Amino acid sequence: MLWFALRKLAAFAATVLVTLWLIHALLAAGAGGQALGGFGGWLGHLLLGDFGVAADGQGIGGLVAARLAVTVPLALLAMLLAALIGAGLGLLAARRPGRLLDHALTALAEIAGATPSFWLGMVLVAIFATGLHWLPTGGFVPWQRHAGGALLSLLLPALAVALPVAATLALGIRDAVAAGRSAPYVLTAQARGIAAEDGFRHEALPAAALTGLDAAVPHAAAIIVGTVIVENVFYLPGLGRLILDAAAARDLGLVAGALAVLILLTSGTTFLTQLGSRWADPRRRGQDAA
Amino acid sequence: MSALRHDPPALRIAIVAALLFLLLGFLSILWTPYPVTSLDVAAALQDPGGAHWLGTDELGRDVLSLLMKGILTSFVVAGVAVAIGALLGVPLGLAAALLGPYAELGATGVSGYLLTLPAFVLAVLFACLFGPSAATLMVAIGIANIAPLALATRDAIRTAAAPDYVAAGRLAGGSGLDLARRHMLPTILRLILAQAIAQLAVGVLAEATLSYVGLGTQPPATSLGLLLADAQAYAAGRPGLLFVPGLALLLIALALTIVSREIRAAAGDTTGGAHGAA
Repeated sequence: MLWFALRKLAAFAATVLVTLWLIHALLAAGAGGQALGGFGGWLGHLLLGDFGVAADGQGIGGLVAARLAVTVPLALLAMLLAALIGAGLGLLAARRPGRLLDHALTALAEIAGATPSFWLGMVLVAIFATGLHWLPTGGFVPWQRHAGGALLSLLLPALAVALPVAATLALGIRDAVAAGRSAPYVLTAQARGIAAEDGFRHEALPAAALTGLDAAVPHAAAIIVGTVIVENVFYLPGLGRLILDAAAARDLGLVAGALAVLILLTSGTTFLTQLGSRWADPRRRGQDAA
Repeated sequence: MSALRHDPPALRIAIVAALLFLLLGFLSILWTPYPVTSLDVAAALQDPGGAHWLGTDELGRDVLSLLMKGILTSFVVAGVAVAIGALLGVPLGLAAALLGPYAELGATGVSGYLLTLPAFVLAVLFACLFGPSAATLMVAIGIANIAPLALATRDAIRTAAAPDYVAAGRLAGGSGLDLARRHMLPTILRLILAQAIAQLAVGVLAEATLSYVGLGTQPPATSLGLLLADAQAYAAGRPGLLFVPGLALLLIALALTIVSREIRAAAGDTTGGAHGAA
């Protein structure tokens, strides 16, 4: 496990370094990119927490930090919803494979998986905000002013990001549980005299949970990118809005700093979920092989 | 386990739906009910009716004509992106599967790295360098397509070269070259095709998403993402403007996803099915 963690840490560091180099190289080649300076100097300042100054004179570090107060909670809420809804629907569908509920949920999940989340966000606004007036149509109540209001303004965007991912997770969990029902070790447990439901609960379900966890790893980073996009649908002052406004204004220093933070978030999340998924599996916890 | 959902009628419906959308898109090169560049503010925001089957938008443009042009953009951008991804990804996958352990380590490492690079980040970088356009999107989405196609190629070759599968062909009397041509190659090609169609679906969604946030197609050209960006302001009064491009997007992606899944399941069946279950 330690070697596995160190290897993944090295892969994480290498990935981030290559991408930071790519961001710097491409932006430095653009008009006005000379302001970024050399890669070594830029990277050194980044490591010390000095992101430089935006075109309007504000510190980039402070600008990005203010936006993370929206983007990070939104991404975490979306991950939580995706895991809960995905596991719930997947287990529900797997209770009786091949029956009506299974077919209905599988079809629904397939449709949700093909739904673009930014459009889903608009549809959710049309239903729950402009239609039923249950939730705000967009904008953000700062945490300091009203934490409950801030959470409410994140609910629909988080759902828009989470539902397509939850659908994909549900299909994977459904298949894993259905496969677990007829897995040799479950049949063996039943042959030893364990009740079918106990065999399922103690043998098949933990294995299916680990399969689901492994399958969820690549989705964690995708949820962060989805968050950055869906922020725009709801006029949320998050990292995505900052990046797009900076790109439109050709403020390359700000684009570089904000993209660097985004890459740290996505790669860091992948690294942590890889470790978590590995640690959760007692069969592999003590091993060092990939 | 995708064989569990193997469903030939769904495949036929999905192929017909995808081809209809493709046809609708390419028809717009030759003909649209109204020219999309002609504005008619007097006829703005009309409900669907005899003159305009799907109504008009806030500038009085015919929604059906805009939809056809938008679908064309979706297929062209996503199609070119798949071509870019295949051009670089398939050789990478071939190297991983055929050129020995070092080539595999390198090719898998490159693919693993590319998987961490979101198309959004590339699209922002290219937009800063060249200005946002459909072309910068093609390249950004194309680079994101490399790794999935490389890994699919590598895995397809491994599936097709699985010992029991090759042994079965040998028992049936096939010689080496015959075996490769008659049994392995069709399976490999089908699995790569399935991945390419899956990436086409991803590309259609990515084009709309990135154009919506202003990183792609620019007016006066149109895209399903731009139509949705325009529709957002009028969603309260004219929900149709929101639902028509959105549903088109959803149906195209869904049809392509089903076609991809069924092709993969069919190719899995010919390899004996044993490899799919694990």
